[in-house]
Amino acid sequence: MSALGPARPPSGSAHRRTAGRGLRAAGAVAGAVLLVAAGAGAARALWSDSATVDAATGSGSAGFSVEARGSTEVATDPGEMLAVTVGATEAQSLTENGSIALPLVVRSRADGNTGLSYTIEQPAFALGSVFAESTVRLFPVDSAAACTVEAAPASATGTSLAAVGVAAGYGTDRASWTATQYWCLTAVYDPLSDPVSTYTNTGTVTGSYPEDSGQSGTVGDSDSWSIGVTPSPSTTPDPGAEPNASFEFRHTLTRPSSSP
Amino acid sequence: MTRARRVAAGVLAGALFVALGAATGALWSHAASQAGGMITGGDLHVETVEGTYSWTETTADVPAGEQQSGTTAEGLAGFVATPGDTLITSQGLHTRLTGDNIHARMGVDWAEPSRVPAGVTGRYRILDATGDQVVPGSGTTPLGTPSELYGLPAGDTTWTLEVTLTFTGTPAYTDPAADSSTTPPAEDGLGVIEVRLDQVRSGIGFTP
Repeated sequence: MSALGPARPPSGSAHRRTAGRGLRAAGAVAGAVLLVAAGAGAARALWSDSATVDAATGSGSAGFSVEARGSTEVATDPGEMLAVTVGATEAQSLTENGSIALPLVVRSRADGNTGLSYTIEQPAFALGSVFAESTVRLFPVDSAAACTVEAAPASATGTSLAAVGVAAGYGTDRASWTATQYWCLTAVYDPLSDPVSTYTNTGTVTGSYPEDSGQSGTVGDSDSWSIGVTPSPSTTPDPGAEPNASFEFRHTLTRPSSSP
Repeated sequence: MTRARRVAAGVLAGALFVALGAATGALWSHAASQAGGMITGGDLHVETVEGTYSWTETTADVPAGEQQSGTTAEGLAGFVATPGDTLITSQGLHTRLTGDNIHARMGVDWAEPSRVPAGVTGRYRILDATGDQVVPGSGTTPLGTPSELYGLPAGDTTWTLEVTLTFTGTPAYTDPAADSSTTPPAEDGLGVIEVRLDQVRSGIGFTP
């Protein structure tokens, strides 16, 4: 061994064992210190603590749709108006068959305390159109099968109808949060039965005494006559040119305090 | 230095560094004289009290006799809320503060605020064991706003947390022919409210 040279290990294997013990010893010390540090960290964590409270609730939905002739319109927000339109197809059937009966299905959903009401506005049919020459009725029925011309009320049902789809209020039966209601639209084509207008003429006569008759004052009378005006064959509606007319369905979400 | 010795020296140095950190951390759990009157030992703990959970519907336009209520979180999850509804959930809390000069701040917030749907708001207040409101001084505080509870009594204390949930806006729209209201409603994402107790070293009554 040279005094100037680096010390040589006794042997390669012995050096490795020594180094190995050194690593294990250092590792043991580090581990112990880490355990102490971990314990101290746990103690520090106590100075901040938390607890949790569950506040999840169910989330209610709403919905409104109108089905006619196998096609359904579905509202996507409270302000959306849905429409059922009649036009040339219905006019053609009306003139060929003399009448039509069209079932409509209105479905409503309003969960929880919320309710849903809706209105149906009947259109003003164009003068001289097939539907204008028909007796039109819109009325509720129990089912689609119950929608017949014979079921139509004799008196007019009005141009604006209102209905409650789902009553507001939580209730006890969740099945009551959805509703399916049926309406029936009927039309009977009878162009000559109802005049489209009436002509009235009034005649009046007034007389007075001559100045030299010794009498004074006036006499007179009045009378009138009228007649219904119906279209001539040349003005018979053309079903192929029937303008579209829409029945408009508007719904409103209601609360228990505002429910009709 | 051989590679092995360098490694061993590095491990020991690292251990020494950690040991210094541990000594700093140990100050929190061992009594020791600290300049500035720093708290030197104790405990801070909060937990819910079993059997004290309740929820009550307070919707203004629903007659009192028809308002829903319950005593379980499962029952609340089954309540179908819609815009216009309000609810109050109540939960007893137990805190333990041990140590001199300890002060804490109690914060109440959604555990996951990002999951709270639009139109849903929450406000809270904390009552003491006698039912007197502690924070805020009056009214309620929005969830997410911490309330300072200075001078919390040492030892075990019970509180009541009241959270008012308000639902506004428009309900989700669905095809009424496709979805039946008799199917279980989905959770609205409100999820969990977290009550957090954090030690503070400032404020009224704290001795610096």
